[in-house]
Amino acid sequence: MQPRFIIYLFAVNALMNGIGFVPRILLTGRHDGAYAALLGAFLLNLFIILFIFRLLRRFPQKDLSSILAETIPPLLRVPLMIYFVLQWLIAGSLSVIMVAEISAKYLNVGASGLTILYLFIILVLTAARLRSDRVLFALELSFIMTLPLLFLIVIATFTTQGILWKSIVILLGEGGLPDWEQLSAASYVYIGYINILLFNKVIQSTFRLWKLIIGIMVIFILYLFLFSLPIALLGTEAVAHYHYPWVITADSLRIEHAPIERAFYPALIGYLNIALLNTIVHWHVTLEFLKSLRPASGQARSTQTTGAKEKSAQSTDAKQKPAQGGGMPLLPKKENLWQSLMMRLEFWVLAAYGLTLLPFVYNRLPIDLFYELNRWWLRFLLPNELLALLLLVWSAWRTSGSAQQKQKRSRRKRHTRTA
Amino acid sequence: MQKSQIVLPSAFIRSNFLPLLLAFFLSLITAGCAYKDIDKRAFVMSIGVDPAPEKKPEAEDDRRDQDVYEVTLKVAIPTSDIKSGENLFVLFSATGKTIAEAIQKVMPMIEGNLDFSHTKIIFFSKSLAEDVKLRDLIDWFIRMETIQDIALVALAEPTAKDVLSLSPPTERLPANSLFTALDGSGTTAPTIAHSPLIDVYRRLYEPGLDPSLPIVQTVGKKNYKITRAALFDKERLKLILDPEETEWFNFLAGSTSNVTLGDVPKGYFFHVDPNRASSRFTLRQTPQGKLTIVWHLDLNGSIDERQGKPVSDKEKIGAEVRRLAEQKTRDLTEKLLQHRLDPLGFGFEYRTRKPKKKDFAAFQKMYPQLQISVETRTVIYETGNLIR
Repeated sequence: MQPRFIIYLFAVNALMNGIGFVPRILLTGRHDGAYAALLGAFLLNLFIILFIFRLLRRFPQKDLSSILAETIPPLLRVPLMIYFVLQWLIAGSLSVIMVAEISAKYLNVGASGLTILYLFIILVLTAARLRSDRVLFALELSFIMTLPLLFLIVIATFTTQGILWKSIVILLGEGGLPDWEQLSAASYVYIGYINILLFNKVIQSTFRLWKLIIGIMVIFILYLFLFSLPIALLGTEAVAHYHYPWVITADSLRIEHAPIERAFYPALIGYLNIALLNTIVHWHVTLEFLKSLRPASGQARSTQTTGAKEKSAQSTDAKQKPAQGGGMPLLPKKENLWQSLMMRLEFWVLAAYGLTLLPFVYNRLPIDLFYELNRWWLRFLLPNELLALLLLVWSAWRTSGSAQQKQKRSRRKRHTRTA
Repeated sequence: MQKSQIVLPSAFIRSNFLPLLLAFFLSLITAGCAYKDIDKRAFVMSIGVDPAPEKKPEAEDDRRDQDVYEVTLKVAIPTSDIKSGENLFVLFSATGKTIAEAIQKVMPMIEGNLDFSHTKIIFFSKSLAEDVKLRDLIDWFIRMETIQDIALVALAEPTAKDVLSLSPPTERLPANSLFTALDGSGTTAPTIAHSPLIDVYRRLYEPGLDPSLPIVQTVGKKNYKITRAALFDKERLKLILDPEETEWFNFLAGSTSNVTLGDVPKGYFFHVDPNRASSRFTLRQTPQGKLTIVWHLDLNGSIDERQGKPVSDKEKIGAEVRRLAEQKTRDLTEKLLQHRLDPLGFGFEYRTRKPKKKDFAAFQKMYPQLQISVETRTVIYETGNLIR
């Protein structure tokens, strides 16, 4: 698949900031170096991202687990992958909970958040078990259709009175050094790329790296705007009084000559949609990484059944399309229940988690607890990035001899294709 | 052929059909919770808060149980077609120790569920604003998720209930007349300032920027006028400006540029053009170390009317306009300084230069002693259809 799909991976995290706790964490530290955190996170992530994409070129059409399978003994690989899976699972769970919470609070006032959460989780589970390339196609379509809604906010800032941009001058003048938490929270904006660790198996990495740099700079500038607007509109002090400063910001914007005077509802629906896409991507990665943990015999069996069909149907396409990834029917005819359950064990584990544990936790615990959880998860964000980077460096070093030859070959092939 | 006909639906069922079906049925359940039918909702168009009428306490202990607020809700009666003068509404009032409690008491009085998503104006009566902290008054409104943050806040005189019960003959929808007037989409009267809920809340907490609210007064039983502004410090109502000051205050605050200056005995009526007039201020440190507020006024206007003498010397009139504008600016700014009120954001401007809290405390101490200077530029660029 074309490398443009990387844009959507980035965008899913960069634009979902309004839904969630990242603005709140950053804005609580507005007096001591939130802007420095933004800049620091930008530079730090720029280097990490460039490095990771550079390294991934050595492993075309491979995801993290299959890269590690070649270079790291299973005794180390399995716990590592389980750790990563947990991180992705928590990330997805947090964003789907935020979606349910905010839409119950602001969009469907009076509805029970639990029902909404169930609905969203079913949607997410349905989408997450699609094949990786289909997830990306769905991502692209949904994102492009949501984009106009998101830009309403930008238009509305020009028509709203009472935006004091000078508030930013005040905060910038205060200076201060950011702490780890703020740096991590500011990194969250760029972290969407990390899904490439899975999607690398379907996305070609044939693009110039300067395009990536420009993309990251665009995100940085966009986020400077998205971060500054609540401060300018809600005040340097009052902005920290809100659970979801961005939702309130969207609510206080007004477009006088528009079909809807409040930019709030369309914008909120747009942001909720992005957050939902975020969950889909995260849980898809969770599911795929879980599948890769299967012992070899089980994997072989599952690929046999699906692979046989594909081969018989379209033998030429089978090579290009990755064999992994869902696409399998939920209730197949020919096998008995136990077999089919075992075949889709990962999905049912995720479904059981999503449909029982998550709603239970959401229903019982106060939302502040999720705020704490989010803070903790964010604290591990940068170390996780670095861990992934280190693993890639290690794998690249281990396979350097053979990989270079392969790379040369594959490059030649690509050239001939384009020419 | 027959086989393929069987395969198609079964493949459909076997793919993602089941979870989608499940989601569809679950979505039917949600309809019961959130989406009450529109005829089962009571749309609150505006809310007024008054002090509760005082009951005579029979014993000392009863004083604690006395209600503080009387909340009045203006609920629209939906009509099938919109006609002028058919602005049907009902008022519901209840008292309570908190605003939330009073509203809870209104709920059993009406068959529909109260819906605040169309609440566009919030009135506090003037006497209440003098007694109760504005932060306490506004708390419920900013906390409610359903109330729009762009709802407008205003003071009501004599009481909020009186203002709510107004029904101007020109009005088509309940509470629409006052909303159109207050939000600036209708009249451009210079005495009307716009104060959205979110802005009032921001100003209550922002150092160096104080809230100000327009005052709506009833005129007779059907009409109203909005000619004065109420200035608050971070807690209570402190100062009420008269109409002339209010007009100039709004010009200085940048919320209108539609002001008029004039002296009918001297024979002219100078109207500042809404698109070309502007006001801004800077802070300047004099060599003696005194901080000066420097106003830069740009008055590009037209002569709207003259009485008596013909307009012969534009220069003279320009000088007169300049003198008047400077006088007004100086007087108003001095008044604000003396009352230690800062609705125009002098302190906020100071913070952009020195953001440290210590500096701002020093600024507040010397606030009444700030110097004022005014720089005005006047251009009379037209005299209407007449040359003279």
